[in-house]
Amino acid sequence: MSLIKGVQRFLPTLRLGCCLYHNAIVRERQPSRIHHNIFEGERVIPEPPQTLTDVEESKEEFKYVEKLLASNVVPEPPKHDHYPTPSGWIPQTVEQSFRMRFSGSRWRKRALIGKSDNDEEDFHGFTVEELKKAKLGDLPYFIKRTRFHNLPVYVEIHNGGNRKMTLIKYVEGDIWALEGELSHFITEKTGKRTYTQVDEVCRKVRVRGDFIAEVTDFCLSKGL
Amino acid sequence: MRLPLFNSTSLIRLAFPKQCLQYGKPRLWFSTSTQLRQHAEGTDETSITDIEPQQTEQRNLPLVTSRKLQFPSKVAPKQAWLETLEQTEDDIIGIVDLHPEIFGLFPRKCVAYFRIDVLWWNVFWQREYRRVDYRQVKTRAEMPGGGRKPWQQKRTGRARHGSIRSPLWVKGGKSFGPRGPKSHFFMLPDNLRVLGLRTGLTVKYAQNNLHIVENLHLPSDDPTYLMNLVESKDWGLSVLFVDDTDYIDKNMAIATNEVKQYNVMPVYVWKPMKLFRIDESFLRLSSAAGLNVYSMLKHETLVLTLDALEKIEERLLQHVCNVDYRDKHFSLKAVGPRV
Amino acid sequence: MASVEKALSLLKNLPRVNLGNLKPLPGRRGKKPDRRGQHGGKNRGFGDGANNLPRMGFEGGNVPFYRRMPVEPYYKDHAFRKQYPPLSLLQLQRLVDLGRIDTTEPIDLTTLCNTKVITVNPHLKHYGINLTDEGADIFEAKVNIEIQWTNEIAIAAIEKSGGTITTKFYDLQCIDAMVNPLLFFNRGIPIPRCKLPSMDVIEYYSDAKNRGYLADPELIRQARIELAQKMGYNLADPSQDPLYEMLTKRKDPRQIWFGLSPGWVVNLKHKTVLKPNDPELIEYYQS
Repeated sequence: MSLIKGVQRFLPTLRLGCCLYHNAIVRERQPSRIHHNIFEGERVIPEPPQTLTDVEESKEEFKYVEKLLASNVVPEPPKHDHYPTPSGWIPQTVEQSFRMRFSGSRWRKRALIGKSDNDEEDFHGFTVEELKKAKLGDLPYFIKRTRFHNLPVYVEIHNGGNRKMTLIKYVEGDIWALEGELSHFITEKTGKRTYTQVDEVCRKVRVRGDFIAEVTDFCLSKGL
Repeated sequence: MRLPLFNSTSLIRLAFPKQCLQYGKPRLWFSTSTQLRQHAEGTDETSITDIEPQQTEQRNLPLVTSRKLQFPSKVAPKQAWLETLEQTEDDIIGIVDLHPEIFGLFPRKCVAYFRIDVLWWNVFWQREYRRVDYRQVKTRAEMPGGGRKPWQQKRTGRARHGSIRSPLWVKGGKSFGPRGPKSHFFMLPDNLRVLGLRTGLTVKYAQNNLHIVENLHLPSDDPTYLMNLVESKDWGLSVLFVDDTDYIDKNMAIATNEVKQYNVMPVYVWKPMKLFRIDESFLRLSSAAGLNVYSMLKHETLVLTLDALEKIEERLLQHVCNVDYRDKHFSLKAVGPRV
Repeated sequence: MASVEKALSLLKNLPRVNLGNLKPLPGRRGKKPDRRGQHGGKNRGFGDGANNLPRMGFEGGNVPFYRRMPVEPYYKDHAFRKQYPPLSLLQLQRLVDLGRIDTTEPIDLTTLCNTKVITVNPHLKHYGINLTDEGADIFEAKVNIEIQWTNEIAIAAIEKSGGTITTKFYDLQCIDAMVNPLLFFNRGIPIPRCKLPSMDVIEYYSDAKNRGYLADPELIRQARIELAQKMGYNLADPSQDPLYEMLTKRKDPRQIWFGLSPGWVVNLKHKTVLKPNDPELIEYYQS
């Protein structure tokens, strides 16, 4: 015997079989709780009407997109005919010298004693021919440029502007030689005594005062 | 054969004979791991019939391999021996240049010379970011019972109490105990993580624990061969072999699988591997990790293949020579889609 | 003494750096305050002493400071004012010298933001870049540049070197897209079409003296000649220039990037561009 679900009003029905239904007023049966089978994808709120339209896919225009997504790497600067460039940039011409690879003070001592490069002596496994290639003109120190190919020379301002120091960072090699030469250079230019500080641990040299122009000139004159 | 110590201050530039032979490549199955991978994925152009079975030629003369550095610096490059694992004797086959920004970094982030702070930060981060503290202790509200006032307020002679589960009571709730799952996730800034890898590599190089190897091919899968090799080279107790991709030589895979102290790792893993597939002459690693500071410091020796070296330098130099040097807060969106 | 080499050689003689040797710098972590009883901690009260204080600024009942002071019109409508972070001609020349900007392509807001030399933040009401005249005397680069604000001297400097300059307006949504295209494409929304300038700046962008994009091209040509006469330099004939095509490349008033129309969606993963086919959408984006 099947059960009726839903409404049957004022309808006389005669079914074959065992069922007989009276034409009675049947009150509309509201289901007490509407079941949505959400696990099988039935929606509780009706789906909004689809407004998606046709689309055309194209690979040709992607080259314009690639131009917008620039590479993050700093490029190698192009070669110019003459330096300085219009904006005043000069590239580094000196490489980390061979002479600098081991104790710079030993070189100074040798120079003081009066020995030249022709004297044969084994220096930490370097062959004499290689030592001879290292010219006396090679610098005992080296200043590494920043990733943007600029000199790491800065002005530090402290104490609300009352205290200024010029800083050189990323010094390699004989830092004391750099300090000596720099101090001498600035003294000659300004005529005043220079006060410097060497931070060997952090590879920095500081000069008291705002001498950024002088320090930059010094570095560029050495080709750094 | 004990190699002369490769030290940045006492470099020995061997004068190799100028009549160095043209390096005739032995016809191995696959000479680079990228070829291995290509063969596995079916993207290489040679067919199996073209490749001859393994033949090692007698390599008597050393080979000077010149390596072109990406983003060459004015600072002189560091150098390392290029070795091979296939022979215990005459295993040096050349010298390779290493980029000074990665292998000759000034160990920064330290007040004195000896505290290499950034390594600590990387190891701490690696330990902490995946830590979830699941401890949870019940408060007085969550403890069973404790709703009723145990005895009347006054005239009992005892202290006044409102609940048997107050924190004052034995078996009472904990006031400020650990509350629920707590994640210790945080992201160390990009530049500190990159600096950590660079410092780790520099430290390994400086302390003579870094070795460059042509590839990870072993003549046999017997673990004792590898152990003897490591012993003879004096590489220490534990060795970390780093290759370019996660496809490695079968012999190496089997040997390192047997010995717990020797581990193989790719440089970088996009997705953690859940498959461990054995296919002909190579195996795919089921590692979830690439080269990282923790592993570098945990193992005594670090051995890199040439391919791995190229990849490491390429990826780290992208950060070193990056246009955007500002400390960035980690953001998944900013990385872009993995294409 | 070689500093890096010295440090590393010192390291060489020390025990192997391993997991048991590492330490943070001292003073890394501040000690947690002792919160015991009446002697510990900094803040009183349950938790940290919240919810037992009156509102901030309360002065016990008298009229507080922030209500005493009369309102002055110094910052009235400050949120509606447009800001243009500056970029000098000197900076531009340095970028060109170091090869960080490609002069064979038109220079855009996106190009300049990609160099990371300048930060344009639409949330701070930055409506683009202001090209200042610092470095006008040394400027030599021949560029086709499009910025949002400039002055006469900067225009003169660029035109003297043989380049072209345009001022174009972008609304904040477009600025947001242009400043970081990668982030924008990741959102998967169509390229916006640029709105017309608001009333306070429409005159600026319609003026040929400012080389505005809404100005009459004929008037712009005359303005170029006038400016050359005023500043005292010779204007080369642009049509004879081999880079004429590049220098005269201009965007549509609604367009924000060359080669890409508004309404398109960029698919970075598959490296394709999706264009709508619906006529209504096409009409809207091209209007």
